[in-house]
Amino acid sequence: MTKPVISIDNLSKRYIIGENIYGTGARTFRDLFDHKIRKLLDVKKHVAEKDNVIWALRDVSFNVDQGDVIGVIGRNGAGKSTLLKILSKITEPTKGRVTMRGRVASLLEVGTGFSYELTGRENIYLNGAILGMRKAEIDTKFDKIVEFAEVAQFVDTPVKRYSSGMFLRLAFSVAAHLEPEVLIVDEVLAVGDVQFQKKCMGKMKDVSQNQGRTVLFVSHNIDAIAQLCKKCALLEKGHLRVFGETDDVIRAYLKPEATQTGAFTNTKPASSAEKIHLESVKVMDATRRVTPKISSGEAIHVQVEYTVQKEVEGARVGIMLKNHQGIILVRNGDADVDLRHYEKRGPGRYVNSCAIPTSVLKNGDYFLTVFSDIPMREWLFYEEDVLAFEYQDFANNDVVYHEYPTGLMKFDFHWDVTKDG
Amino acid sequence: MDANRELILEPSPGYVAVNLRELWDYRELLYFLIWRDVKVRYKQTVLGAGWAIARPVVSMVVLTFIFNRLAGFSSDGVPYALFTLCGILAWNFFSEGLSGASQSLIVNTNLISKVYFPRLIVPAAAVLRGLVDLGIAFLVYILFMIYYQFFPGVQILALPLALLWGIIAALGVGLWFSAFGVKYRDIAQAFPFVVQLLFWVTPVGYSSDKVPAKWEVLYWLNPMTGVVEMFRYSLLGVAHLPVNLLILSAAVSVIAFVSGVYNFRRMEKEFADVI
Repeated sequence: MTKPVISIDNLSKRYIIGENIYGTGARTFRDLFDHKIRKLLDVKKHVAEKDNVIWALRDVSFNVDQGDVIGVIGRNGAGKSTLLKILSKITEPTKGRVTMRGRVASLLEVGTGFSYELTGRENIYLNGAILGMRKAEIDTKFDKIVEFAEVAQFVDTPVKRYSSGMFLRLAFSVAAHLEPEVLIVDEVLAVGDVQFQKKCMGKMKDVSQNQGRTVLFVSHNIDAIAQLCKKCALLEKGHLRVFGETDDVIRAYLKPEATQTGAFTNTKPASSAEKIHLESVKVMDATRRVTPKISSGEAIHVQVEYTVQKEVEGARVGIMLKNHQGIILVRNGDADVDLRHYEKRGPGRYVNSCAIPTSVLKNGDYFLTVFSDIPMREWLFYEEDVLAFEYQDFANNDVVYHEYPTGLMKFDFHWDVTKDG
Repeated sequence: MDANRELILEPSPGYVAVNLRELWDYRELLYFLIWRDVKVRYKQTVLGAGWAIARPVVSMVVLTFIFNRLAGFSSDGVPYALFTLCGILAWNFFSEGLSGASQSLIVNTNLISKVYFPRLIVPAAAVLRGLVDLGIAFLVYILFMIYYQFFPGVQILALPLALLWGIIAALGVGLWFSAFGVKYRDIAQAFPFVVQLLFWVTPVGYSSDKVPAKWEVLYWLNPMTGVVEMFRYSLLGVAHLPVNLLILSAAVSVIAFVSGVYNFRRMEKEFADVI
C-alpha cells in the first residue's frame, strides 16, 4: 500500500478583512497608528475584530493518491483559490498540515512573469525558470515547446508583437512541458479561443490519463471537470462538503438542499434598497401541481412572483435553464420576447409565468436561475440555481434505446424521406 | 526538488532559518531574473548602456565642481575628478541596489502571488543586477585613469572585499525596506528622502577625514562610509581608514544584513496575502 501523494489534514486558513489591523494588512503607518490609538481609547471597537475574521478554509481533509485526477469545485468564495495557494506554497495555512510526496508543480496562471519586451525564446527560458525548470531541461524541451505553441517563425520576435492567441499558446506550452509528478492547475482552460481550449484539454487529458500523473484541477467549468476528473472535492464556504466520484459531486454541487421541493420562497426580507424583491419561484407540471419531478405533459410551467417596491422602467424578469453539468441551455426574459415589458412597472405584486416546452428536453436534472435586470445597467435580483427539477419521460428515445445521449437538448425534426429514382 | 522528498506545509513559527539548500536549487532563477531586468532595461531605453556611463560622469563633474572648486577641498594628491568618480561608482551601486531591492517585491507582485520560490531571490536579484551597471561605469573609470595617468597599486586586491561589502550593505538595508514596503506603502514615499539624506552623510564628494572628530562615530555608523572608503583605498591607494571605525561600519552592515534576512523570513509568509 503506497502512501497518498497529497494528504490534507484539517487544513484551515484565516483571513482578517475590513479594518486594517497591524500584522494583517495595514496599508500605511497611519492605519497602524489609528489602530493603536483605538486600542487604547476604545476597547469595544477592538472586540469587534472578531467580525472581520473570515475562515477561507475550515478543517478540510482529503487524500489524493498516485495517478488520481481530482477536480476541486465550488462557488466563488468557497475557498478553492485559497486551497490552491496553500498547496502551491504561496501562502501558509493557519492550522492543519499538508504532506506532499514527489515533485509538485503548480500553475495558477499561464504566462506568469512573461516580459513583453523580451522575445519568445527569452520568455521560454525565463518562464521555465520561474516554474522551476532547469536550464538544461528547457534546452532539451525547447523545440517541443515552440512546436506545440505554433510560434516557430516568431520565436525571436518580442512578445509584445504577438497576438493574444499566440501569447497564450506560448505561455500554456511552457507550462504544459513541465513534468512534475503532481500538477496543480487553476482555471487555465478558461482563457483563449475555442481551438486553443480544445488543445489545452487534449494536453490535460494526455498528462492525466496517458502519463499517469497526479493532477489537482480547479475550475468553474463543470464540463471540463466532468471530462477530466475521476473524483472531485466540493468546497462550500470553506468547508469540504463532499469528496467522491465526480458524477455524485457535480450533482451535489448543482443541487443544494434547498432546491428539491419544486418551490422556493425567498426568506430574505425585502430591503428598501431593492427596487424589485423576489418573493417566490415555483415549478409545476401540466396539471399545475408544484413538483420537482416532471414525467409527462407538453410543458413545464414556471412561476416567478415578485414585488416592485419602487417604480422601475426598462426592467426585465426572466429565467435561465442549466443542465446537470451546469451548462446554460437558455436564458430568456419577458422583455426579450415583447419589448412592451420594458415599460414602467409601478409598485405592487407581479407574477411572471412561462412554459418550457418538454419537447426540447432530454431526460435528466435541470436547474433554474431567476433574475431581473435593467439590461447593461444594473441587476435587480439574481438567484442562482434556485430550483432543481427532474424531467423523465418514459416514452423518450434515450430510455427506449439506452443510447448514450448526445447533445444538450432534444429536437424532433420533421424528416422527409424520399427514395430518389 | 528531489523526487522522493516529503514536503510538509504547516503553520511555521515566527522566525524561520534560511533554507540555503533551497536557495541553491533556485540559483538559475536568480540568474534569469537578473538577466531579465538588465535586458529589459537596456532594450527599453534609447541610450541603452549610455545611461550607465552618462550618470556617473555628470555626477562627477557636478560634485567635483562643488567640493573642489567651490568648497576648496583637496584630495591628497589624487586628481579630484578621479577621487569623486570612485565614490560615485560605489554610491550608485549602493543606492540603485537599495532602491531596486526596496521596490522589487511590489514590482514583482504577480510572481509573488502566483508562483512559489524563495522570496529572498527577488531583492537579491535587484541588488546584484547593479553589478552590470557598475561594470560598465568601471570602463569609464579606466578611461579617466588613463587620462590622469593614475593607476592603482597592490591595494586593488581589496576591491572584491569592497564589492562584497557593498552588496551586503545594499541588500541588508534593502531587505528591511522591501519587507516593510509590502505592508506599508508609505515606504515608497519616504524612500527617496532617506536615500538623499544618506548621500550627504556618505563621503562621496569629499573625504571622511573632513568630519569633525566628535561626530566621527556617528558618521561611521553609516555602512556606506566604510564601503566608499574601501573603494577609494583599493582604487586610489589613499583613504581615510581608521581601523576601529572601519570595524564599526562593517559591523553595522553585517548586523543590518543578518537582521534584514531574518526579518524578511519572518514577514515573507504574509507577502502573498497582503501584497
